[in-house]
This record gives sequence, C-alpha cells and structure tokens, in this order.
Amino acid sequence: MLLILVRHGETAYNAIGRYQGHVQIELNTLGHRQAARVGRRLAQRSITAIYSSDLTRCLQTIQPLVEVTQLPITLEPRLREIDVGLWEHLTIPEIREAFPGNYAAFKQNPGTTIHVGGEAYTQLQARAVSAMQAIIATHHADDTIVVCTHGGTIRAIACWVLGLDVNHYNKMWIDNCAITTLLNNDGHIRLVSLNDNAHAEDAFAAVIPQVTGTSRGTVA
Amino acid sequence: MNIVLVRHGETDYNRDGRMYGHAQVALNQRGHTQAAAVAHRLRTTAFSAIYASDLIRAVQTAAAIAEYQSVPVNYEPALREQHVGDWEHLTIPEVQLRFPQHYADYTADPAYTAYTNGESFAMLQHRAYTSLRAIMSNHQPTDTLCIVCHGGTINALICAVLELDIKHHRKLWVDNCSLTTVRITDTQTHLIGLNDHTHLAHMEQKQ
Repeated sequence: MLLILVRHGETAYNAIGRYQGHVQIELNTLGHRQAARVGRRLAQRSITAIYSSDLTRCLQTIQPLVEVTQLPITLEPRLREIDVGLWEHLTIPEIREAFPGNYAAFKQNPGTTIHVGGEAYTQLQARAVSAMQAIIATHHADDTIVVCTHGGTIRAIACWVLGLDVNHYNKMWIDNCAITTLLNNDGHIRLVSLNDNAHAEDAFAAVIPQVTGTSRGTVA
Repeated sequence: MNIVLVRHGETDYNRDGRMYGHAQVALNQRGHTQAAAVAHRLRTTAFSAIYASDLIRAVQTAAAIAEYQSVPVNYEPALREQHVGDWEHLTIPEVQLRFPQHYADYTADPAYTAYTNGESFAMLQHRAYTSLRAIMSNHQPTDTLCIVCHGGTINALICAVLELDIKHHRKLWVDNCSLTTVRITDTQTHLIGLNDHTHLAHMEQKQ
C-alpha cells in the first residue's frame, strides 16, 4: 500500500509567517496554482481513495484532484494541523513577546511542550497516527491512497514511521503542496520519499526544495 | 550549505539481489539510462563542486552528471558503500547457507554487527559523516554540493542529519539515481528532500 501525503498549498498566513493551527484560512493565489500542479501530477497515478484534514486549506488543495478523479473525499479531523492554541494568528516575534516562557519551553522541547491553550506535538502525533492506522486497516495491499494534510502533521507521521524522537520533527522540512510517501508492506512501513516538490513551478525549487520563509514549516 | 546526495545507477548486482560493498561492478544499461536522466534533471543546478565515491558505479554516475556541469569530480574513498566482507558477491540465500550463525547475528542487530572481514553500519556512518564534514570545511555556506555515493552511505548520512538511531536505517528507502537533499549549517542539520526520482518516472520503479 502506497500512502501519498500532500501538504496544503500556500495561504496568506504562510506567506507572512503567522501561525494558523486550526484557523480557517483559504489558499492564496500561489496556493491555488500549487494545488492545481500537484493535482495534475497525482492524477497520473491510479488512486484508490482520498482522505483530507477538514480544514479549509486542505479541502481547497485536494479539490483539483477530486474533480479529475471523481473520487469521494473522506474528511478526517484527526489529520488537522497541530492546535497551536493562543499562538494562532501570531508571528514568532509576537509570540516571543506575549508568551516568553511558553516559547522558550517550546524551543527547548519542541516535541513535548504544549502550545498554551492547544496541543503538544506528541498529542498531534497520537491522533494523526491513529487516523493513519485506521486508513491502513481499511484498504488493500495494492491500494494507492492520497492524504491531504499539514506540515506539522506530515512530520509527526514521518517521526512515527522512522522511529524518530518527535523532538526532532523540525529537522525535516515540508514545502507547500510537496509530496511525502509511505510504503506499507504487511505492517512494515517505510518512508520512501519526503518533500518531493518536483512539480514546483519554480525550476530551481523543483530540484532543491527552497524551504524559504514559512514554507520551512516552522510555522504550523 | 545544500548538499544533494545521488545514489548510483543500477548494476546487475542490484537487479539480481547480490550483496556488494566494495566490489567493482559497473552500471548496466538501465543504470546508464538512469544516470543520464538524473544528469539531465540536475543540468540547471550549478553545483559548486561534485564529489563521488571512487567505486566504479558511483564514478560512472558522477561522470554523467559532470557532463552538464562546469566543475570536475573529486573522488573520495570514505564515501564508499559499507564493506560487506565475506558476503561480497553472494545472494541472501547463499549467505544463509554459508554463514548461518553470522547471518543470524547480523539480522538480530543489523546496525552494529560487522560483516566478517567487513564493516558494521555504525562504522560506515562514522567514516561517511566524518568525510562529509571534511568536504564541507572546504566550501562556503552558500555553496551547493553534489555527492554521488551509495544507498547505505546515503541512509547513514540521513540518520546522522536527523539524529535517527541507526537501528531504524532500513525504514528509509533510496532508489538508484534518486535525489536526497540535506541542508547543514553551523548550528542545524535538516533533511529537506528524500528519494526524489521524478526524473525516472518513465522507467518502472521497484521499491
């Protein structure tokens, strides 16, 4: 079973570096173009099923693929981004000023620190992994599943697959609309690609992921 | 510094599932086609330098990439594949028949068990990451490097970059002539791309 994880396209908050978490925010113009490009790329494969986080930016990202494949979309709230609580809508300088203790704790232990009023990465990982295990249990060995979700969620899932301490999640970067792939053979799951952005419209970024600004995923 | 790690193209030993570490096995026809495809994919990326393992399969792959680049290839023996010692040239069933006890020891602890007359994965990681750090010391932070080496070597480097326990190294997969990209600064190490083989999409992938 091949599980293709797609990060949503760019939003206005991504572009300026504001935390969004569970905020309902739409793709910006670039984000819609990214969604169309990744949709064209994925449509070349034989897809069995489509799952998505129920946040607007993911639903908009997966829409082009849904239109081409005419597959139903299964909404999965457990695949939402990390809930960043009171950090929502804020930039990093604003967070440092408003919640200096919480920010310092997060820098020290990014995996286990609860964003004040929200979640820790360990909590995100627990719900996202339970969603992935449910998806795996639902499908057959030769199925190809697309899962549209978020940068934090994809990295939490990758940590689970690799057996990597979730405190190291931000050693991996995921660009908007990049593809990360898991291969499941009888319960043995491997990470067979990460942050593949070969469909990027920027020719340089299509070879070496750019990971500039907020697309490095440091802002959930 | 951005570092693009390229695994060599296919050889007959890859195709047939034969163990090889330092054995000199050249690319097969499919491997040459893969090398040409990855070279073409990388043509618009102006590398500051190209480094390669000095094993023939990496040398041939690097030569294809260098055709589109303006810098020569530097050969680095410390980027070689893990030395598999007495398992060289054998299939797994042959290994199980000839070295049953060592095979059992190896499968119980594939990260730290050295191949008889060869290396452990831990030894590979130490020499390869030491070599990468030495290579980086010759370059500027804004440089982009291309390093052509091997599946085990690339997995070992990824484990170092992620601080992933090497007992998990087989949870990563890197195809022949795929691109894996790491970004290393004075203070941080990142995996920013793993096993991008989009340029080989016209060829059947085996995973």
